[in-house]
Amino acid sequence: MEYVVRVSGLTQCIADEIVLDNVNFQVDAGKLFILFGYSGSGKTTLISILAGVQAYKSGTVEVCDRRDIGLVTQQYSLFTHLTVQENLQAIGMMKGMSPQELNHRVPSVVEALQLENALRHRAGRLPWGAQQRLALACAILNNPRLLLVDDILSRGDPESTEVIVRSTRAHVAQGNTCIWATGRLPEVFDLAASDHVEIGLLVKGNLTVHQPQEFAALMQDRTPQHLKRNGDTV
Amino acid sequence: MTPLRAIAGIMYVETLHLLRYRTQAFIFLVIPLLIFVFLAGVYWDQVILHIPTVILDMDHSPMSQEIIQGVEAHETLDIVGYATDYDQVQYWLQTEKARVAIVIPEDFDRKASRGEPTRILAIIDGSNMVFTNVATAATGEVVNHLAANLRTNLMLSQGLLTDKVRRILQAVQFPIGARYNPTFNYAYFLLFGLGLYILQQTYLLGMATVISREREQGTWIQYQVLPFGRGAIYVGKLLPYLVVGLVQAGLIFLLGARVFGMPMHGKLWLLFLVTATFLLTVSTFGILVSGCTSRVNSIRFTMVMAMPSFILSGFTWPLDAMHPIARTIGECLPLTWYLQAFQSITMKGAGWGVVAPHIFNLAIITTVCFVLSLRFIKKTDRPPYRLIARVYPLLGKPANRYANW
Repeated sequence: MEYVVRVSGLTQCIADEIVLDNVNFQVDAGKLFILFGYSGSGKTTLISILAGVQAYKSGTVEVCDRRDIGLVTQQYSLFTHLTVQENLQAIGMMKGMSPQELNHRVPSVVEALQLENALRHRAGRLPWGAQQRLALACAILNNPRLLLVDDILSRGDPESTEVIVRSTRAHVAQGNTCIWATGRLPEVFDLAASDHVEIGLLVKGNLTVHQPQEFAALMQDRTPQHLKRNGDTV
Repeated sequence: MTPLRAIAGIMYVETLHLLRYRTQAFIFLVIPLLIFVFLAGVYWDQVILHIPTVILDMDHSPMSQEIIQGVEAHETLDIVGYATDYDQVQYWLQTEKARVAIVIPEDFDRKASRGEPTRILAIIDGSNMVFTNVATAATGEVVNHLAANLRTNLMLSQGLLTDKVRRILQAVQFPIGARYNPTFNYAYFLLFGLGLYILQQTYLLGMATVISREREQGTWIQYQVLPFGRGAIYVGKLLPYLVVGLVQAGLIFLLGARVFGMPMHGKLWLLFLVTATFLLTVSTFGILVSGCTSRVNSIRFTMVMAMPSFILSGFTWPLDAMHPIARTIGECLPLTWYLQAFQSITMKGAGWGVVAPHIFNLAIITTVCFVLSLRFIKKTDRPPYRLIARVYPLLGKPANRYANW
């Protein structure tokens, strides 16, 4: 199967600390890859390297064309002084979308993420849930082949979470790929309840890839403290 | 996919940012014009007239009356009182009731008539250089006129014929003709310079935060993930400011020339070409500042640099008369070359041949700032691997400042 991301021997050091240690994995087209790890495990570093915004020390990182990547960050990275409509227009234009493409895509993305009533509101004044939905809307606006999501559900409401998960699954169902980083186990099980899912367990910079059932069995008797303390035994 | 659309998107964000924050919009859009109009009011008279003058006449002779009449007749000097002794003169000057004192000594008339050496003392308040320069010229004119009359009378009294006296006096002449600003008009000299300096400051204030602002708001990553180089980002960021800056400069030129009567010779296209080059230079300098430091520090930097940049530009004090270090710094400032080119065009009607070296210098500064900004502004962050990571905590920054976006 055609891969969208292939990482081999990736090592990243920040100061004297090894953040990613010889990470190897591959994500094929049409897959949802859940990157699970607790705080400080290196999720954000890995996502930022995949997005091409952070240099790395050694290894090989192959990803699809940069213009085919959509990114949602923990901070959502929205233009807070612009309205929802203006954010979508601006980011669409910055991604090189034509006015016709924007006219076609914006209404469908707005509808999918239930942002119709917020179009004229400034992004900075929206509740967290709406900001999360807007961030995802901006990221999938140009229908990118690779969607990178970095732990966006840490704040927000259950309704927004449901909409976001549903939209992400729909994006993947179109043959696109998503790498979803999270530090919450229930979120992993929630997302894993669909086809074409793989889970990467990132512990102290070491990544192991599992199928959902295997991961569920692995996590049965392991607490976050256990993972943080004895990560090398996972 | 074309970078033009990305540039248009960045311009869209920047324009909305510019317009949406009222304080910033006011500072950037209104302040330069407002201050220019205010400065035009300050220099409304354009020349200094009616400098308060006190007379100490210790001679009380027909000739001293002639001097007093000469002072009264001069439009620059305005007699505000008559002192009775030196102490009173001192008092008038100290209390700033008078800026100039003219002291006519005893026996002035008698000595002058006999051709004996004598002198009129003009005391000028030197605490204000503008008054000093104007008063020196005015008192010089009055005294020279009187001296010429005295010489004429003396020669006539010694039996020389009128024609011969005239020939002697006209044998050597030293006419002074001030080109380009014959009336020594202060407004011609200062008004445009100050207005454009204010424009530079507000412009720099806007440009110096374009990158640091995005970094602090967490939106810089939206630019980092773009599949285009930094050039496209720079262009998108600076174009809205450049357009607004050019419109403001145009309004300043229009107001200055049409409403306040400032000279505006030379070719308009050349003036706008120089102005556009200058604004481009300031833009790249602003982007460089913005890329090197935080938003607050960028603003602090522009505030701290405001006055020195004007002084070092050589506008109020010639570059040639500066210390070599100060002159070198001055030559590195865009304002220096812009104001020189501007004065050459508007006051002397200079053409491309004169202005081209200034444009070339501005282009060099632009290139240097651009190259440096590429060094400091990266689309791909490079985490601090060793030394820097140890230094950051000492500066109050996290060792890994890329940990969270």
